[in-house]
Amino acid sequence: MKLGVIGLGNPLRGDDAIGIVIIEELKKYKFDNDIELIDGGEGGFNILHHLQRFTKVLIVDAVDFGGNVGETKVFNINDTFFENLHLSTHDINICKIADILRILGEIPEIFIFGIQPKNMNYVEGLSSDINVKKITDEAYRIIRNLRNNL
Amino acid sequence: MSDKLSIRIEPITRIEGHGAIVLNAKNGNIEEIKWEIIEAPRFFESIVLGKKFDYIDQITSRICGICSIGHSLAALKAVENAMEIEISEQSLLLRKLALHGENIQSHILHVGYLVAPDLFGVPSVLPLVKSNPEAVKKIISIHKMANLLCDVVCGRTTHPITMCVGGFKKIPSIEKLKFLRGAIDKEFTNLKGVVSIIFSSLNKIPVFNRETEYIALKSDNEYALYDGAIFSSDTGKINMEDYENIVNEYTVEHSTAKYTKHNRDSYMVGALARFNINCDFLHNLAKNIAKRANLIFPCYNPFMNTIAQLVEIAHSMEDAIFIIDMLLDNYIFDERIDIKVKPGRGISAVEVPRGILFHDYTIDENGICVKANCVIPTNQNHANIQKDMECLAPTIISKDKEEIEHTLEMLVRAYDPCVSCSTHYLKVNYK
Repeated sequence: MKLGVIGLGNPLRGDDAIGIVIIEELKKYKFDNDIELIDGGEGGFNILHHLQRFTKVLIVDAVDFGGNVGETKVFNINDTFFENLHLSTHDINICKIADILRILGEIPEIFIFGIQPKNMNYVEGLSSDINVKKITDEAYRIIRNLRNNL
Repeated sequence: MSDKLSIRIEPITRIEGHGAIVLNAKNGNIEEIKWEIIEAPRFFESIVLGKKFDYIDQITSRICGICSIGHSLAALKAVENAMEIEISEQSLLLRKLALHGENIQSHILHVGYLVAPDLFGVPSVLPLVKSNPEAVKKIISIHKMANLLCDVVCGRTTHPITMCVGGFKKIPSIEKLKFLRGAIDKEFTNLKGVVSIIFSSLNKIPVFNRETEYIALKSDNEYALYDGAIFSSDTGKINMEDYENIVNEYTVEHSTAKYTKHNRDSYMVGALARFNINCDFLHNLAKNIAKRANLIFPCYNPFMNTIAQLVEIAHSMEDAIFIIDMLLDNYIFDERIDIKVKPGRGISAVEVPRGILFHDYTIDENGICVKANCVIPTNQNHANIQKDMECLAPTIISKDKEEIEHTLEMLVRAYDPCVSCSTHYLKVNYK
C-alpha cells in the first residue's frame, strides 16, 4: 500500500468531525488498490503504525488556519505552520508523531488537507456553512494527484 | 532546604487523565500530602439503564480507550452470568486471546512510552527517540503486534465488534490466526531487546517497600486473567457475590473518584498484585525476566509494578502462542448463538491491565438492564497511592524539591492509573 488517506476527528465536537465525515464520503468513490482510506478517529499513538505502512500520506482534518469556514488548504507537515503547532484535540499531535518517525528514519511524505472549522464545541453535526460534497470532491482530486505522483 | 516546602504538581504528565499531587511541609515535617483526582465524573452506570442486554458491552467499552476489551469482556461475562448463558470452549479461548492483546498493548505503551523516560532521565518519549532510537523501534514494533492481535480477534484495535453475548459474531480465519502467530513469534526478539534496555536502568527504580493487601483473580491452573476466584493476600478466597464487601467504596473530599478498602485501609490491584498472587503460573520467559529483574515473591515495592508489567508482556505473548496453537489444532468453526432472555443478576470480574475489574448488572424479563455497577481498578488503587505517598514522603523530604516531585510522580506513574476511567461514580441528587 503506497498512499494512505487518514481522516482524523471527533464526531462529538462539531466541525472536528469533518476528517472522518470526508473519509466516509470518499468510500463511495472508486480508488486503486494502492490507496487505503482510514478512519483514524482521534489519532494518538496508533496513527504512528499507520504512517509506517505508507510512502505517502494525506491527513484529512479540521485545521484552524484563519480561513473562511469550510475553506480548504493543503499543507506539507514540514510547513512552518505545523512546526509551530502545539495544540491538538487529538491526543498526541500528528507533528509529534511525525517527529518520532523522522528521527527513526521511517517517515513517509505527509500532507495535510485542512478544512477550516467554525464550531469545535461539544455538539454533534457539522456547521451548515461546511459544504461536504465540495470538500469531498476536492479531496478526491488531491488523492488522484498524489496517486499519479507516487 | 527551606523551612517551608509547598508542592503542587498538576496535572501529572504521562498518565491517562488528570490527577494532582499536593505536599506541604514545615521544618521537614509533612503537614499535608494528597493524591487528588480532579476530573469531572462520568455516568456510565446510568447510561446503560433501560438499555437491552446486548448493548451493555458496547456502551461500557467506551469507559476506556485503553481497556475497551476488558470492559467489553466484563460486561459480557456479567450479562451471561445474569442470563445463565454458557459460551463455547472456542469462544473462551478467543476471549482469553483478546485479553492478552490488550494486556500487551497497554503494558508496552506504559513501560515504553510513559515510564521509560523516567528510567533514562528524559522528560518524555520524544528525547528518548533521539537518545535510544533502537529501543523505541522495538517498543513500537511490539505495540503494533498487540494492535494486530486485537484487530484479528476483536475486529478492530479499540472497542471490539466481534464479541457478543454468548460468544463471537465472527471467528478469525485460520489464515489470519497463522499470520498473527508469526507476528507474535517475531516479537520475542524485540521483547528481549526491550528487557535488556530496561534492565540497564533498573537502578533508577526507587527502593521503597510498604506491605499492603493485594487483590487479584486466582485460578488453580493458570495465571488468572479472564477467569478465577477473587483472592486477597490477607484473607484468601472471596465469593464473587461478596465483591461489594471487598471494594467498600467511599468518597473523600479531594477526589471525584471513589476510594476503596478491604482488610486494611487500602489495597493494591494490577500487575504487581497479580504477580504476588499468581507468579507460580507464569510461563518460562516471564519467570526468567522476573528473576533477572529481582522481582521476587512477595514484592512490596509499588515501583516494581512496571517490572511486573514487563513480565506480563512476556507471559501474554507466550500464552497467546499457546492459545492460537490450541485454536488451530482443535477449533475454528462458525458458532450459532441462540440467546434466550432470562431475568437475573450477574456479577463478573476480569483482570484488565490495571487490575481487577468488576461489572454487575441486573436484567429484567424483557432483557433490559435495570441496575448497574462497575468498579474500576484505578479506583481500587487510589487509596493505596495515597497511603504509599504518606509513607514515602517523610523518607524523601530532605531531598531537593525537584527530586521529591519527580519521585512522587514516578510513584503515581508506576500504578499506571487510568484516571478518566475512575471518575464515573459520583451520584448526583437533583433537588
